[in-house]
Amino acid sequence: MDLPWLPLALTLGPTGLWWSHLLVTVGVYALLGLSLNLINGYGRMFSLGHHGFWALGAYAAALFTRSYEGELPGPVLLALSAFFGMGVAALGGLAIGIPCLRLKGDYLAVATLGFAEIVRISIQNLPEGLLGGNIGLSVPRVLMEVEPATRGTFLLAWCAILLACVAVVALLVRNVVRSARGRTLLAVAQDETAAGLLGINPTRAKVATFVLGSALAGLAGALYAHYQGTIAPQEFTFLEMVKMLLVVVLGGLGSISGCLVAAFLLIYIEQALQLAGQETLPLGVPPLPASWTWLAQWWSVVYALILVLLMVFRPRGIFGPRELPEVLRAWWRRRRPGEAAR
Amino acid sequence: MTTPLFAVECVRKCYGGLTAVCDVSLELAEGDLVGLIGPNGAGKTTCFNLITGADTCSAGRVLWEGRNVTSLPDFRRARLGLARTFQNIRLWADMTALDNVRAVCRGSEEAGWIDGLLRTPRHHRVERLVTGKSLALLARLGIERFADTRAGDLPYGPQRKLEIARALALEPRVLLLDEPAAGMNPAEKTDLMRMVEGLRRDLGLTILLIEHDMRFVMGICERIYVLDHGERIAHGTPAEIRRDPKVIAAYLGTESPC
Amino acid sequence: MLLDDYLLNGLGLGAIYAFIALGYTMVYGIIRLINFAHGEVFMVGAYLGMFALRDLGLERLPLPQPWPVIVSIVTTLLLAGLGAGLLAVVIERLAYRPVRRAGRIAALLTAVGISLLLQNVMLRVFTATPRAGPVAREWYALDDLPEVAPNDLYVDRLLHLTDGSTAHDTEMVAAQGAALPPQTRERLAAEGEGGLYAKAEFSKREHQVFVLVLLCLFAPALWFLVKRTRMGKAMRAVSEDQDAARLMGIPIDRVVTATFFLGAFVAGVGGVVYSATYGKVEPMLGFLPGIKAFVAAVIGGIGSIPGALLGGLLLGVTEALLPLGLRALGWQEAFGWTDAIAFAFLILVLLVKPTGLLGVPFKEKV
Repeated sequence: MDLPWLPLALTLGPTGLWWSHLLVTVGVYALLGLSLNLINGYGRMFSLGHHGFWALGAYAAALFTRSYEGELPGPVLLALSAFFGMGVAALGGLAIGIPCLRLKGDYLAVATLGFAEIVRISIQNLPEGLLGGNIGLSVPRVLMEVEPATRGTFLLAWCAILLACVAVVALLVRNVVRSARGRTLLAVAQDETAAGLLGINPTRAKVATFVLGSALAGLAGALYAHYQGTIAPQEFTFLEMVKMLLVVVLGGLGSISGCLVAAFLLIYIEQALQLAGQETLPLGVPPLPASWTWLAQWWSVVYALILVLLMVFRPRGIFGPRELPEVLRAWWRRRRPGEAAR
Repeated sequence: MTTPLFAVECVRKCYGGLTAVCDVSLELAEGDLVGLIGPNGAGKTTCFNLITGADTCSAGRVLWEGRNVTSLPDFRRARLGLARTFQNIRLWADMTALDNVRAVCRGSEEAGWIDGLLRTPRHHRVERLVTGKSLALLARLGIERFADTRAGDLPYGPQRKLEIARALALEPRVLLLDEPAAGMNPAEKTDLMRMVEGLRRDLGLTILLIEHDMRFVMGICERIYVLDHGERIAHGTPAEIRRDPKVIAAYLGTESPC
Repeated sequence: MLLDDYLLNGLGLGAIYAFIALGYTMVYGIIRLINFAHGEVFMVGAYLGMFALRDLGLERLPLPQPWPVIVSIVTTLLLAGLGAGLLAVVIERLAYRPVRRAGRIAALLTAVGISLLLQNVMLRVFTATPRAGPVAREWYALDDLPEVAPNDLYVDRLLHLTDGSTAHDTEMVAAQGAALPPQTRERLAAEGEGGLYAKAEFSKREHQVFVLVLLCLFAPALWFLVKRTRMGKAMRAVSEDQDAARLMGIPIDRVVTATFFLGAFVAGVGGVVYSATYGKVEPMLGFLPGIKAFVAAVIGGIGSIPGALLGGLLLGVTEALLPLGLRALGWQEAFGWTDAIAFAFLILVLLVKPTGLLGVPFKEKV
């Protein structure tokens, strides 16, 4: 796959490479966070199985690409593969949503967790010829081959793809929440019984939201699989679910901008810590003393601590249920008390 | 005799050993304004729950225009034209007042998920229609200035009115009001009485209301059903009810010999 | 293996699940929290048990065998239970109590965080390598060795390494059923150091019977506690209506703490028995049994103590027998899917009974 922008590869120094990889990772988690926000945030449903849809999307897309490799031009194959992944994930959402969404709170959490575990265990146990088992499944390169010379271009291309997808998905989520169906969902989320008694079909609203959320998680999975080049069931564990949850909760349940900011913060800190003590750092990474490398190793512990401290001291997250413009406006008003007298 | 708009026949609700509602029958004809009263714990709200489908009947039937709707889920009954308010306010607290009403409002057209996602022309059409209707309802109840306020932040009076506005958004034929005057002072209650009568007149509603304030009930209801310990003990005009010894006994206890 | 071997396997495993499930169900009943960290408390109990049995030296008590072993085991179980209980109390005080008012998601996320915290701290401290599970030993002095070794006989020496640390060196000196050779006896007498022990090894079967016996002891004890004592009544009151209980003067915080302690105590004991039965202790020990026990509690109806027992035993037996049945029907790899089967079982039960088999359906007052 020769693409005309090849010369760009030479201009991407270590800074560019590091940041591109970072932004791609942020993008994946932002997509996961946005989709989870629909279900857990706006919908106030308690899903702990989102990583299962992520996995479904990743594996479905991988299988699709492997089947049609070479028969379609690269970008087209990527797009179709992504749609296929979304579709499979959406079907998964439907399959698990219809029976389980009438379960209340904690029971739903357990059922969805069980579902995700079933997905992961199935991937592990199915014959290796089918899904690669524990070893993993390789995903053919559809955009370009990744050699040292083209690595920069590869990363930039994926950066662009992910950022575009995040922007589109954020817009879609915003659109949905401010639409008729969105209001229906919010009503069901805030008082399901009242909603039912006022003519809203709660199950239909919840299932539709769940399907939409799982489809978007599938999109994240498809993109992730194609970026990584290989996927293995160990990458779709409950720890990943906790990461997604942290993104959503840190950003504030029900806040799109909060989700994006939180995804960036968490991934940035995680990646920056891994460079602690190194001599040459990419621009924008603060020089951290080498003794801080223990933090990088204990990162999962730190995640857990952040989660606990967040819940104890600021369960609303950074932005609460509000969006960035509103937060800035409120902050501005507090700095100028005169204007506040309205 | 015309078929009543809706009726419940011999409905019963048992919770384990306790019979909350026992063989109660009510009926409402189109345009009626009927009251449902009784001492605390008589089973009035349970009746509402059985009528609206929030609870399932242990026995008996619920009929809408003669059709048996007992097995219909709550949201389908609501869509037939049956709306209610709640004893404890159950607004969607994190949504604005306008959104509370818009969530319930349905036009002849419905905007689906795709419309919402992609902002199709249909979405915009439906939004305009629904927003217009909702604002009109808020204005009718005099709370349009709260349109963009979070429902949970509203004062108590406007909250009660918002509940009614929301119920009206269903464009119902029957409106069930559960203690609409609770917590109001006499002036507010008089206002509410006028408004309820106005709703019946202007919108052609049939209204069944639960209330404890006797002046309110006797003031506007044409007929009154009285429940006590889950059973219907009386039915009649306000004048008849006022004189009924069973009703008096239920509220005041058995008369003393002297 | 025979069918009743599988059945006993299932019952034994199920009893362990029941032990853990009790803690889940009791805590949920009181404060509606899924204590995700409960599996880790189970794991810590196992570690405590291993250390207690190995390092307390109670087995060396100058009593006729088998008393030292019995005392040692009982003390180990008690200590593991106490330690686990204490850990749970600390967690409750520091992490759960502050978020009690912050809503369900906040509480649940805190629990998940604590669970991860414990797992990863233990992983860093002990590394992921599994260690040998607690094994009871019968210690003998050289003079009062029985004629014939009851089990493989080892001598245990303490080595002082050059960097100051100590290590245990074990050497087998006689096989089961054999007598100690005279040359070895002379050599050991000359050394003077070290102790002779035979592992009081119980078969897996015996372990499983033991845990079932323990369950039969614990279950009625718990029932008595919950139904007849004041604390039990307080627990039930708090779980039904916390506000009313507070108004009646019941000390909510103390009741919650007691509940956590009790549930964790039982889990800690379960942890010791589990690691003894399956022969290893590792930081991730609590993860899968924790989830499965939680599944069991939900199946039985979370909040219901008999439900936890029923759910635990049912899940254990299903886990043991269902793959067997499926394999008999032709599906050869059924056993690799055991965990998936457990989750599928959960989802199925919830579909039919949304609040579990013995759970109380949640009726909302409109």
